[in-house]
Parts: sequence; C-alpha cells; structure tokens
Amino acid sequence: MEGSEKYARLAERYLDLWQRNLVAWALDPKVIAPDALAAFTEAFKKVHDHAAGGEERNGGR
Amino acid sequence: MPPAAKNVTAAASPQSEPRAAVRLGPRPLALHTGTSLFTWSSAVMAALPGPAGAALWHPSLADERARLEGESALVERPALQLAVAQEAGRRLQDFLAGLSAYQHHPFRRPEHQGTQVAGAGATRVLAHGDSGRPVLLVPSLINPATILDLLPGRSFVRALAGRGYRPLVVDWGAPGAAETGMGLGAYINRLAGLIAEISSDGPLPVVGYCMGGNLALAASLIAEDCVSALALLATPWNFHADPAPMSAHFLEGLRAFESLDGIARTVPIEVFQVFFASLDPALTDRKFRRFASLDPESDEARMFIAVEDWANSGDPVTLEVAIDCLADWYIDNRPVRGTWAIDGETVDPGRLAAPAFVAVPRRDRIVPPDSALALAEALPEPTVVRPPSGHVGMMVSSAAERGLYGPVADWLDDVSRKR
Repeated sequence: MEGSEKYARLAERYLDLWQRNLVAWALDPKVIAPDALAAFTEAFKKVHDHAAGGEERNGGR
Repeated sequence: MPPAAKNVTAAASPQSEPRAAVRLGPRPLALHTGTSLFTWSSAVMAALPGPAGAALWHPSLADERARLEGESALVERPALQLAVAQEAGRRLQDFLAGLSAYQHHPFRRPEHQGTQVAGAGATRVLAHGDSGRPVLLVPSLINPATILDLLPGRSFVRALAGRGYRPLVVDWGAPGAAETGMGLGAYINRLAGLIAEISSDGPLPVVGYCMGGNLALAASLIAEDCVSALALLATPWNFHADPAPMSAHFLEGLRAFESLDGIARTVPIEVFQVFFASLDPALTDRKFRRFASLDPESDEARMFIAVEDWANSGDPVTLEVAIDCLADWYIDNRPVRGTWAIDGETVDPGRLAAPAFVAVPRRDRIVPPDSALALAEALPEPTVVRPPSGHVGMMVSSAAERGLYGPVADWLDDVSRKR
C-alpha cells in the first residue's frame, strides 16, 4: 500500500509538471509562428471566395 | 434542493416536458476538449527516462524535471510509467465528466431583464426597479451585462438597489443593420447620447466594468455635464503592462482580420475566447476537473454554471470594434500613450471633471493590475480600492459585497452628499 501511494504521488507530480510543460511549449514565442493566424485568414478568404463562386454557379442558392 | 433547481429538474424530465438544451460550451469547445485530450493522452510520455524523455521537456522546466527524475531513480520505472498512465486516464475522465455535467446540468440563471427606459439601435438601457437614485452601469461589449446581476446574493445591481439606487444597465445587443460599420467611436457617441437622454433630471453617476469602463470614460468626457461621478472597475489602460507571449503573438495575428473587411461584418465571441484561453491554456482543464468533484446541487456548482454560461455567451461584435480594440488598444496601446482619440479628441482621463473611483482587483489575470493602475494614475485624484479578487471574482464572488459592492455604494453616497 505504501509503495503504491508513493507511485501515485510521483505520478501526480509528473502530470502536474507535464501540464505546465505543454503550456510552456505553447507559450514559447519561438514555437508559435507569428503569422499563423494570417495564414488562417488567407485560407478563410480562399474558402469564402470559392464558396461565393459556387453560389454563383448554383444560381445564388 | 432549492425550489428553483427542483422546478428546472422537473422540466427536464423526459416523461413530461422537453429536456433543457445541452450547452455547447465552453467555447470554442474543440479547443478546450482538444487541449485536455492532447494533454492527458500525451502524458503517458511524462516519465519517459533518458535523452528521449528529456527532449520532450521545455528548457524552462529542465531543473524541475531533473529533480523529479532524481527522486524516481530508486523506484521501478515500468511501475511508475503505469501509475502515470493510470492517473492521466483518471484526469481525462474527470475532465470529460465535468464537461458533461456542465453541459447537461438543468440549472439556468433566472432572467431579470429590467424595463427599457432608453435605447438606440440594438442598444437598450434597462432599469432595475422603479425608484431610487439612478446610476448607469456600462458592461463590456464582449460578454453580456448579466455578470452585473448574476444570482441573488451575487448581484452588483441588487446590492446597489438595496442601497437606494436605481440601476440602469446598458445592454449593447447584437449588432444589426443600425450597427453596420460601427467602431468604438460610434458606440461611445451612442453611449454619450444615451447618458444625455437619461440625465434629463440632472447628472447621474456612471459605472463601467472592464472595457465598459473605457467606453464610460470616453462617453463621460463627451457628455461631461451629464455625469456626476465615474467609477471604473477593472478597466484596462496600459495594455502592455503584462503581456503574455502567446497573447502578443495572437494579437499581432489579429491584424489579419483587417483583411476581412468587406467579407465578414462581425467577429464571433469564439475569437475572443481563444484570446482568453491563451492567457492560461490549462485553466479550462483544471476548472472542469474540479467541477466534476462538486455536488451538482450545491450552490458552488450553480455559481460555476452561472459564471461559465456568462463567459460563454455574448453577441458578436462588429469587425470595426474588434479591430479598434485589438489594434488600437492591445497592439498599439494608444490609451496610455495618449493617442486614443474619438472624433479627433484625445480620450484624456486628466480632463475628467467629475469625481472618479477606480477598482483594481489584486489577482486580475484578464486586466493585469498594473494596466488598471495606470488609469488611476492618469485620473485626477481618484478613490482607489484593491479588492482581493480576480477580474470576475471581484464582481460575483462571496467577497464581492465587502470588496466591491459596499465600497462603490459608500463612495456614491459620499459623492452625492458633497454635491
């Protein structure tokens, strides 16, 4: 029992630190591409333009 | 079980009436569920030893990880890895259980709309009560005014009413045809017009919460003869006071929304929710795992639901408002630099003639305290209070009465006596 509690406590500490680890990676300015959203917006425009073209082809439906 | 909850539960019975709608929050749902799923499914690698394991850890946590590895050197590694995997599975289960409990909970905050006393376009001014000294409450444009009157006992509106005031609450409403192309300046001019309209019996105090404070300040400078006092609660002013790296990147990326001009007319709340999530990406996981442990019928559970429902509700804002807020405020930081102007007139807090009150919650993560304190420094001799709470807790926690409601009402009484 004592042994399994020790493992459980260690596991909790690993996981608390792991969650902080992922946040640290996510917030690292060297990891996040500054223009990622710009690329997304460009993609959104292309989809929109394509959809608008499709609406015209389908008689405005 | 309180009567209100019993009634709602009965209404949700499959035998009698239609079930309450399932909530689709927290928004954006895919972001929050994806974050937890990725966190806990990847966590099986947390106790991977050696260089392969080390490569997974961010350099800023290398020392902490090394300490943990040192303590783990004497235990059996496969058993430790199994314990990590089992606990990760439990955490994911807890998160999903909390999420499901929230989404399916029958509790709904009772609606208290108030009576419309003025309006312009989609914006309404709603009176709570028929008598008392009027005080105008201005919420943010992003999340709705319900946070000002969340639940009995946790209501700034009712606390003011109990002190002899008649709260008039601004409900900005969803942008419609009348709001097309309206930026911050247009909303501020609209607010100034409404202040002038409802102050026909004499100047009245105005209270702004969060970015509602920025709007209230700018409108009060325009309609200065109509405002007897101005209280600014958790109102940002120095937008670069404590920039999180993710926020800075996210906000810079939002400049791309300028290219949506002519395509999209409004920006949905999800965009802002992504920004809020970026301030603490693990917060939603922690909150919902904790919610899973609460008694669903407890006051604490109902409070959690009411706050989450508020945080996940809100009308879209016009594209122009989004660009003004994010570019002029968060990116260019115009207010504190003295370059934020409405119709060519700089919004200068130093020009405010009315007495001012500033509340700066000590644990605010949405508006860092230094950001709000910059506004206190720019105002002429404001009364400053520092509630021991966060941004939302200041308004609705059990400490709100002593930390905010009471001090605001006392100050309003004091200002009124001196006039």
